[in-house]
Amino acid sequence: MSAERTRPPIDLRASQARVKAGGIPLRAVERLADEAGPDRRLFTSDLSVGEFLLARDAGCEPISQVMGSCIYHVGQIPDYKGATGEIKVISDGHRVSRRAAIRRLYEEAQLVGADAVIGVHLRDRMITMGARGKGGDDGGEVLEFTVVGTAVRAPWISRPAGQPVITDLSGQDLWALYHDGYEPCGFLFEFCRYHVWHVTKNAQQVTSGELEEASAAVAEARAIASRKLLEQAAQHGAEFVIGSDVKVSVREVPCGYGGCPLDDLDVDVSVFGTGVRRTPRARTIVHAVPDLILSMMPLGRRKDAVIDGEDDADDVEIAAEEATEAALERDEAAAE
Amino acid sequence: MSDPDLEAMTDLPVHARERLADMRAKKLFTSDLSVNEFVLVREAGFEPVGMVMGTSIYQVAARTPSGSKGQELVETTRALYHARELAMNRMEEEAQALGADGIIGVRLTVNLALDPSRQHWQRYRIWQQWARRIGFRRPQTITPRTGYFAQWPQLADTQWRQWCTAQGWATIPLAPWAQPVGKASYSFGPNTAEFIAIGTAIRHREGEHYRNKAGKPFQSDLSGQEFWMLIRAGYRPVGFVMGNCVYYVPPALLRAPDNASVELSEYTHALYDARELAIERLQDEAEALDATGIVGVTVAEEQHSWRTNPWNMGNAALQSGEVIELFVIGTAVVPMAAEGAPLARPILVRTANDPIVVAREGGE
Repeated sequence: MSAERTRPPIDLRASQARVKAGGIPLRAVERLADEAGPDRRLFTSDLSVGEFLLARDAGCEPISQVMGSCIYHVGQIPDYKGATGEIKVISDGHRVSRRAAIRRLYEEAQLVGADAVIGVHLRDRMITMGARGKGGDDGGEVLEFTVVGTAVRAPWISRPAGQPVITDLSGQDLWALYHDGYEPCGFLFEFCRYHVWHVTKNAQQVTSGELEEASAAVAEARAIASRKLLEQAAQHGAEFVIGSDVKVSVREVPCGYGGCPLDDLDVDVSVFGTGVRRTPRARTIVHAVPDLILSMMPLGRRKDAVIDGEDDADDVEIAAEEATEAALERDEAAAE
Repeated sequence: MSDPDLEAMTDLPVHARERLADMRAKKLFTSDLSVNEFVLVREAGFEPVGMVMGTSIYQVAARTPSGSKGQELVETTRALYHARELAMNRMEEEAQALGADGIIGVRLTVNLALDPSRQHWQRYRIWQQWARRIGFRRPQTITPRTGYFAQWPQLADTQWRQWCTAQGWATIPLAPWAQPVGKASYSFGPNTAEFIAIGTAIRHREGEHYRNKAGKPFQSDLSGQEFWMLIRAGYRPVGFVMGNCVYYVPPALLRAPDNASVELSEYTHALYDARELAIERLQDEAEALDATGIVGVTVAEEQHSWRTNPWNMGNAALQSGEVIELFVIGTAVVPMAAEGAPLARPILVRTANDPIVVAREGGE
């Protein structure tokens, strides 16, 4: 390897203890200390060129790429029997792992003396699926949640020193906000798993019409997530929230109660967003309605690189889906 | 052959040398730039001189260590790095032979199609999808933990015959999953992959010096547009820098009491550590080029097929652990001597374009 440099080995035990306590490993501390230190030689950033230039124009000077991750084992849940409502174990599993990963990102940003972390990318992965054959994310699974962003120096953001603000807004978004007199003030995230017991009915009970329980569940799950999101926004002193990654997924699952032919419903609501408020003492700029153009050069954010389409990481998801389907089929066969 | 650029070519295959010498003499260029990219590269003062590539076919031995600690697989890390380096160096040599200042739009890809276990897995998936579409019942003996049905070839064969007969076909054609995929699989042995680097070599029209510290053409995965923007803003790329780390996570780290919701902190530590090692290596490379920064860093976390078990899917990680490669890659930049023109103030517009997905294979 051309540029391999020998470094003193780290104290593995101490490093692991730090992670266990919710911190970041020693090697990361050392590297970040170098980057913040006096003989810092280069910046790293995962911004694209356009993003990089616009972020600089918006008063954000990149320091270093930072990251946080958390691998989390979600506890098994008992059978769903009779349960209609939020499944706390799963919701909390997602919430806690996200919080831990973002906490580590925050700590890294603090170490390099950043004012903000911009362009945060999120990534989650199921490493192993729940073992009960009812599907993947159903208790007993191992999840990975990773956030990667660019720590920047941005003195214009009004934050107490040493408390960087995290945002998943891109360099372009931030540029537009900056020139309009707004600043990001906090990263918000929420997850809710809502479960409906026996959403399907026996043949003799079936009538035409809306499955009210199902519709209500979607509404309820969204309400829970937005309520918590608003609480977070209020804590950060946000005036409004830019929801950048909002996903609602609904799927039918076997009820999992020995040979029962009826199915349940799982509703997942996952929200990420950035709280935004007016920058104190910023001048108000009134924009004219933008022109409509056909551009030659898209300034949009660069999508994440498509990485080797044949990655095996999807296999866990596929296997989990298939396990669910197999269980549904088994139930059907049992009903016949 | 007194030209140092041409001497660099001696390593290249005969046909590549002939093609490059010919292109140099005739001033014909090929490029995989789009029209927009081409126009902007010219606008930045450069001319494309030719499409260049390098490739390396590399066998990576997969050895999973024993023990219950997460650890780096140093040999595998070096092998994967070396394979990419070979491909990139060959591409660089081609560019040098064309007298180029740099290469833009570099794509670094790994072709794993030769891997027999991967091929087997693809066939399994093809059959599964077909059987589901036709409405065959899933075998009840399917292993719930891995989702793999070991006796599938026999079952698939029976189903295919049954279906073809039901269609009233006189002869039974080859099933889709039985058809040969790609090349012969064992020609290079298992765990062999082809590493390919492709890009477009460019040269400054006025002969300004854009080569890097080592006197080699710079490489970068920037598109023509990005390159133009960077030059306009007073930066120039000096190299495509990368770092990697292959890490083995034993199954023990994945185990937790069934009912506990806990962070697997040792696992988190293992992956975190791997990523730190990869980034350190990336930064060392950039520092070796005297770069002031790296833009467009992509962190890819991937499971390749370098592993002892044929497939690592479903819950197989619980038995065999995970072998993960963290691969980071980015373009090292330096500010140019002359201060660039200030970035033209962007204006807000409503676009009438169709949505464009700018997907470059920056990593692999």
